[in-house]
Amino acid sequence: MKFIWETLHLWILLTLIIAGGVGFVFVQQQLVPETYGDLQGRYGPYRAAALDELKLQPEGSIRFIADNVCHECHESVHEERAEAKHITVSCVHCHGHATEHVQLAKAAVGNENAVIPVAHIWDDESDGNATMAAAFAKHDLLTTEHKTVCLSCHERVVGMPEDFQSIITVVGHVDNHLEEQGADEPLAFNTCFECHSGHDTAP
Amino acid sequence: MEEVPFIFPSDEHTAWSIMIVLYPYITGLVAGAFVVSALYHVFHKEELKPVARLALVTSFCFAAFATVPLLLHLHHPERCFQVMITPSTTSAIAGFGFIYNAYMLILVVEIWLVFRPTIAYRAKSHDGIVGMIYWCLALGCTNISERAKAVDDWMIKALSVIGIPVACVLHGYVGFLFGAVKANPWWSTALMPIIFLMSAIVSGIAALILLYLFISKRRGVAADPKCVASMARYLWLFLVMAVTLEGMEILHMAYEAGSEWEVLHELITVHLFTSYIVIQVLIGSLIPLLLLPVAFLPKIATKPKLLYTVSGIASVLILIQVFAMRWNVVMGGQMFSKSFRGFTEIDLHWYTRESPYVAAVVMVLPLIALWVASKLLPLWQESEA
Ligand code: HEC
Ligand code: HEC
Ligand code: HEC
Ligand code: HEC
Repeated sequence: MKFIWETLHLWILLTLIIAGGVGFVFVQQQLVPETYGDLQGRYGPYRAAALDELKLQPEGSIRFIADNVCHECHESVHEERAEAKHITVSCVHCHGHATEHVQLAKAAVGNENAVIPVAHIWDDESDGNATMAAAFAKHDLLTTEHKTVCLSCHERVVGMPEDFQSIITVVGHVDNHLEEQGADEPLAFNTCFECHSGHDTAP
Repeated sequence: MEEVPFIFPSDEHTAWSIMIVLYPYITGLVAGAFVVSALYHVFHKEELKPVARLALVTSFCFAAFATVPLLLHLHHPERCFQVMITPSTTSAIAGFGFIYNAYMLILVVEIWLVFRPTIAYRAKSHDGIVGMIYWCLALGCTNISERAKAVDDWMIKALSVIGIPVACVLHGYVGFLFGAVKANPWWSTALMPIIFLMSAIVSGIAALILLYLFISKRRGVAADPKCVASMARYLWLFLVMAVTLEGMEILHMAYEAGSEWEVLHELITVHLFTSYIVIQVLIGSLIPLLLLPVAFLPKIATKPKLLYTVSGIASVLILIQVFAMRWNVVMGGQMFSKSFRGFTEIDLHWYTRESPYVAAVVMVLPLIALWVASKLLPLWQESEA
């Protein structure tokens, strides 16, 4: 008894620490969001309900639209590309994120008077010689035959897998490939389209 | 064959700013200062008694601000509690909140026990609001009988003993965060936690020497030459270990000459030339290594002027060395591309909340806290009687 009295301050401290610990666990339990970790085994630690919430978001707020959404209305393009190797390349790579386009087009279904804005055409002169990144950031929907779009994937760079279908370019944009194939206007911005097309790219 | 320099797009920007340099620097000072206090409390190095309390409180003051650089770095600092509310068991960073809090708890309790006699005494001798504050600090229990003091002393010792591994874990863990990044050869080494720990102890001792010399001067009291000499000797010892480990690490990589050495070699000799070779190795390590043995001279305690000058200069250089070391680790690891074929420039974020100006302010905060603490509690044992 005497010992406890002499060390009373330590017992008070211990009580405080335990109370603090219990308090922390209590508050922590309250703050853990519902459904957190429910899918632990499959997807790791996060809120399972977040998946459903994302699905419910209005379409316009989603930045990336999958190809099958475009296919709903552009079935012919789907067919064109079905056999081509480019089937793995998403529409958004060449046409911009097209979120507004999809919204407007969906709203226009069954509405005779609705106008769907035409796609912006990006070429060498448009947008004051804007870069590819700038053009794609600025326009919701665009069509382009600009070679930089093709070269953004097909220019051979260090570290690219050997067997990836790429072409070697030389500084100054006179491409080896163009010389070999005998392009008429190797310096034109749309030179690739002399021989390839946008959807079925096989020459 | 001359290879084309090439960096991956994701390597272009150095996301980790000077704040991430500051974080291991400050936690290092925390762990280092604690080790000095433990040398007195656990290993009974009586000559360190004059700085034992200063060491504890310094450790606390720096620990109190250890998270500030991290919070400044975060874009959503308000989410910091998430790592403790929903910790991921496989995430290395999730451990920090728990380790940090465990260390803080031990430190606060130990400081409280060390200063309890003073707090209890003042709670009894002061009236009004001041008395109330001290009474609350004493947790309402002002018993300072011999028996109570004996138990407290035992507790202080026990906490110091527990505190050493926890302080080591705290800082070793910071090293682990870097050492466990296997994609980055400049970081990925099992030696990283030990290297961080050694340089932490080095920086802690150096900071204490400077603080002790500076505060003694301000108070107009002569610093205890025996104490300074002892700290300088420990400083030398730990510096030898730190520098050896840092050197071995590089030597090891150079001798193995793996594919990554190509890029690391250029990193060290070109891109980090000033901060690594000149500042960290030549100025920050070599000169103190040559200066500090003065403290081993047999009659050094009778020549305090020489001792203070030498250990003061060495300490300043060492604090710079350790900062350079943190800088070289954090920034160096981001300067080369993971393609191992190209380098990027460091972005100092001059006009953001992560700028070097803000970093300077963050470094001053613990010192202000120390000044406030020195007003509240007697850091000097002689003045207590
Ligand atoms: C590799 C780039 C590329 C990809 C990928 C691509 N397109 Fe195209 N698309 C073009 C180009 C270039 C044009 C311009 C006309 C032309 O020269 O073929 C075009 C034109 C169009 C047109 C208007 C002309 C027409 O043929 O009807 C539509 C609609 C179209 N694309 C839809 C799609 C959809 C839907 C997808 C995804 C399923 C897609 N595109 C994927 C490059 C591409
Ligand atoms: C709800 C139907 C619908 C959906 C979904 C849809 N579109 Fe369209 N799209 C249209 C209509 C209608 C037009 C205009 C008529 C036409 O030229 O065929 C059009 C035109 C286009 C054009 C040519 C515009 C022009 O001015 O030449 C392109 C390119 C295009 N769409 C791309 C896409 C892409 C990429 C997606 C998927 C991200 C997509 N569309 C999704 C209905 C749709
Ligand atoms: C987003 C990346 C991307 C873009 C942009 C892109 N491609 Fe491709 N392209 C691919 C991939 C992936 C393949 C398939 C390569 C493989 O299987 O090795 C491919 C294949 C090809 C092929 C070989 C087809 C065949 O059947 O052998 C040609 C030709 C081609 N692309 C031309 C183009 C042209 C022209 C453009 C510009 C309009 C373009 N690509 C834009 C990714 C891209
Ligand atoms: C004058 C016609 C012509 C032009 C212009 C042209 N190509 Fe080709 N391209 C071909 C032919 C023909 C082939 C198939 C020959 C082969 O497989 O070697 C081909 C093959 C390719 C391949 C596949 C290479 C491989 O390894 O299988 C790619 C990628 C390609 N072209 C991209 C482009 C791009 C990008 C441009 C624009 C900068 C372009 N081409 C311009 C005719 C052309």
